[in-house]
Amino acid sequence: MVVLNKKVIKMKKVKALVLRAAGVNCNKESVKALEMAGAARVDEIHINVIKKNSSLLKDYHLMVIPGGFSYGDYVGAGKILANEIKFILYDSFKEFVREGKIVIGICNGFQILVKTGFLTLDESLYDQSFSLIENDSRRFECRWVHLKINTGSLFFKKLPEVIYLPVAHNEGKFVAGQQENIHNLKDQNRVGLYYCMDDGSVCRGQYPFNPNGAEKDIAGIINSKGNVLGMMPHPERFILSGQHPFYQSLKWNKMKIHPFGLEIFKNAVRFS
Amino acid sequence: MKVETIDIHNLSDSQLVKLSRDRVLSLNLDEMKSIKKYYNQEKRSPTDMELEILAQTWSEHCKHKVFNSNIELRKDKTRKVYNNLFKETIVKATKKYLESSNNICVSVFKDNAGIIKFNRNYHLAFKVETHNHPSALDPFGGANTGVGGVIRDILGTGLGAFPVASLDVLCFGFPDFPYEQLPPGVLHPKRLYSGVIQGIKDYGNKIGIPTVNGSIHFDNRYIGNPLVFVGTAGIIPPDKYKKKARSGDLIVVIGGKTGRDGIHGATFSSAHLDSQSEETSAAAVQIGDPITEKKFMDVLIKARDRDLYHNITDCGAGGFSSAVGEMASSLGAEVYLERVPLKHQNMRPWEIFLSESQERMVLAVPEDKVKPLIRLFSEEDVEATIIGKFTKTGRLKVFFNDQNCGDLDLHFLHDGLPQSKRQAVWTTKKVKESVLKDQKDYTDDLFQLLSSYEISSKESVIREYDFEVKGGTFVKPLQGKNQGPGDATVIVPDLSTPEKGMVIAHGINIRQGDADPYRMACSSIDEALRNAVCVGADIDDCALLDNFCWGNPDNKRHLAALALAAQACHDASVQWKIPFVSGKDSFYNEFSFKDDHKNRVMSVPYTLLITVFGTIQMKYTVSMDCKKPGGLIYIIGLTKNEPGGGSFLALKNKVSNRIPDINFKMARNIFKKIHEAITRSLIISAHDISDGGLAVALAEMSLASGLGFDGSLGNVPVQGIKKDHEILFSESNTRFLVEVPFEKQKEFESFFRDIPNGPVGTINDSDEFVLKNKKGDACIKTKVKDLLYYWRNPGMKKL
Repeated sequence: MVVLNKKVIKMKKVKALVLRAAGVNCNKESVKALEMAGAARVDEIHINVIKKNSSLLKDYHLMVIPGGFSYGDYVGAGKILANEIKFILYDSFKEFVREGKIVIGICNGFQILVKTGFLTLDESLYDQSFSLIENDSRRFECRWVHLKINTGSLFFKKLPEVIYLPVAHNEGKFVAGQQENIHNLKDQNRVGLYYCMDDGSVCRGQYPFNPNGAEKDIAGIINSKGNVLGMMPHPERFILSGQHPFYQSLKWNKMKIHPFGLEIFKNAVRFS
Repeated sequence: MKVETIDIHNLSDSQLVKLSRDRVLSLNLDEMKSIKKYYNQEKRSPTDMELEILAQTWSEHCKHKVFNSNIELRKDKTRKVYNNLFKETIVKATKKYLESSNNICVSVFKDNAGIIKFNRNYHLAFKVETHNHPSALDPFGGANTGVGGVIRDILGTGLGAFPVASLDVLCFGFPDFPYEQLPPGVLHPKRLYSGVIQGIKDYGNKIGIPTVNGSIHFDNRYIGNPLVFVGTAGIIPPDKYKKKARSGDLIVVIGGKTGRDGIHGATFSSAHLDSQSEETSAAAVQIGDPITEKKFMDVLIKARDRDLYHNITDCGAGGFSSAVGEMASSLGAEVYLERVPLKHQNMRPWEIFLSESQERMVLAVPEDKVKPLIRLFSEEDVEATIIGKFTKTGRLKVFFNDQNCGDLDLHFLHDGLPQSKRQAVWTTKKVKESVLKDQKDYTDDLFQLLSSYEISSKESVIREYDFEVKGGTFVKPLQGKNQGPGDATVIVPDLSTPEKGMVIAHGINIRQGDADPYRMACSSIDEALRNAVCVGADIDDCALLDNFCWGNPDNKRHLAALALAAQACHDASVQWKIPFVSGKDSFYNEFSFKDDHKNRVMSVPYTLLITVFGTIQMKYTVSMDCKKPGGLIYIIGLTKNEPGGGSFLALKNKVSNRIPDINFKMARNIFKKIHEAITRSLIISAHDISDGGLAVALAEMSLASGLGFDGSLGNVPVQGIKKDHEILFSESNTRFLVEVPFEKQKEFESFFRDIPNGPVGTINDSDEFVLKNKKGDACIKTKVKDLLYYWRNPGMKKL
């Protein structure tokens, strides 16, 4: 079945959309990641263009909402762009997700997916059950972290159980309005990635392994259908082996480097 | 709004000086007299706006009057005259370089930034600016707009370079400076420190340009006048670096609106600070908005690639006056100020013309392209407004609702400034050379150096900056398993060609200049190049930038220090065959205040920041952390008894006039050979020896990797040295520590046989760090994790 699917998919030329808006700043590297992952076409589309013609979303199989500081994050991380989607473009975005097309929200993009209700507990409500708030350290954190992945998710196929990616954010602490929301999320197997120790063991909030104080060390979540992923770490910043922070010592000790970020994008393209 | 005319025909010399002072024009008597003469010829009186335009255009900030002056330098018993200091030192050296066959320069000194060759698709541009005075008054706002400004410099280089990385170098007073001793009107260094860093972080992170390189320095002479150097690199296609406005082109402003923020910034930055500056000049500090700049940055590159404009420049110091005045210099221009979108009502015309509100750029747009251009910008909510046109009248005419506010001859505006003559005198001060006894053990001294403010880890600052955005930061500012201090950063500016990188490094030395400004400048250039070489750069593919921050140039000693440092830049550039492509000077970095009813002036130390950037092959990059147990550490270069300006002497509260010297010929040979040895895999780690000497550099290599080390001082090549501490902590120039794979030892030794070098010891996988003296006794013995602990906990000892 899967094999058959793959065959069908390989014939399909995947068209990917990278969403732009004022202050989005990880778009170029996201485009590069998608191109390297095998997308046939990657377009950067400004939100103003979609506002004029929302039906253009129909042309795409895959959407990335990249990181950055959309509209400066002045009224809350991702809030204004989330509201533009929610109050102007909701139907077309809902349709995109309902059709099972793949959406990845990275960093600011994750914040937007949470605020628009695409990543929420009860998906029929499109409400906000989670938030990403200021880091416990009260600082911007630009560092690489170890992540334990959800091996069942399509986004993490062919990856080892523990991967390594950079985070860079002020507001990345994953919290839930109610404590049981987190339990439910775990029960539904919808946690995509956990911050962890370098050997994959649980880090229990320990800084800097968990860089922001996220509850239950949650770094990213997926929707129940499995086609929408929101994550704080930046997979688009690890698509070439030279980007690894220990590249030099790994190289001279003849260790193989696996650009985990690229693999996530390859999975996204493969399953589009 | 009324235009004022000022009668200057009948003013006496002292009245001219008073007029300049009352209107904050920062012009001297000679300059005021030239202006008087011009209006005599024009047979009329200047308007308020015209005086403001002249003051801005002729400001130190815009014209570099000191550097271009005629200087008579007396150093001890010698005498030398420079007809034009800048042209006879730095420019002269670069001109000589441009004639060489290895010339990598594309554009030097002309444009906003220096441009050098990179690959077929792009050239590299680099610019470093200072934003000292604004940061002293408003650390967040000053640093914030400093970053925004230098990014716009890059966007305004050629027809628009795309910014790819930033650097920042900061100088403050010590964080433990006693509050009760702060002069009035001064912010505490801690407050400046956090405000400046937050300001850089806010702009850099939001606009999405990685802050990849920098350093922080401390001296209490920066208490009243901190230094904030901000630099940005960009890439530009080879066919886009030339620009020229044409007569008939429309003047279009894009980006933010114009307001009262930042009035008199150019003249303010050319005056000194005092206890009242906070009250009198707060309006001179601008307000930054990174998202506005980010918005037009994205569209601008599209407009550039569609050839929608002929020329572009940023609205920096001097606002429209400077931007339009510069672009129109060989043409002429008419500006209609009532069209300018404003933030505040009731601004006077000259305020609109001179305002330094941020996030604005000025374009010269051919008439048939103006509609598509405005449409393109409006698609992404960027305001673009026609405010005038270029003419061929040779005059700058400014109107407000048909009222003529100013009409200046552009030739006079740009070339009418009289050159000044200055005197510079340097007398070498005698100091009693300190004699320090040898100790048995230096472990504690090493701990204290590692945890000093200057040397200790800056990780907490670095991680506040998004140094990974754009995904191009390959050789990162923090290196090795324990994130040790990288010497330089290498970015891949274009991920489509990951085999080619851009190296960014810098050198600065704030303690050597008091005794010897010439050697200080040489040491700074040497340090910058050492850092670049440590990651694998070939100095023949690199270029330099100079940024001078000095006190009052009317002080003959300060001016002499400037001339000596500039001469050093010339000599190093010629000897090492490496060009200066851009630079900036900032004077009046001093603070005057009353101390016990006495007037006191505190000038900053002579501070010269040398930035190096260039092209590098990614496959030949290395980092500073030890790689393999069993690897051998060698020292390259000669260690001499030159403790002056060094960290160890500062630790012991001693001074010396023996500032590290330079051997240009040997240094070039070393730089070139290390690069070649890296390409042959004879060297797999390299670290430069600077603050704290051999001991600190070795400790850093070990702590960065978490690997142990066992070695001795016995084979370190030395000259004139008797004591252990002289070998351990000397800061002699052009020295490196390198890791050589065990199996390459013979090849390495034969390759470096004509250069002073020697084995220091072996890397191991223990937690022990041991260094023995010549007699074979351990003079440093500790755990690697202790080295790491001290290095990560700053402020344990003030130097």
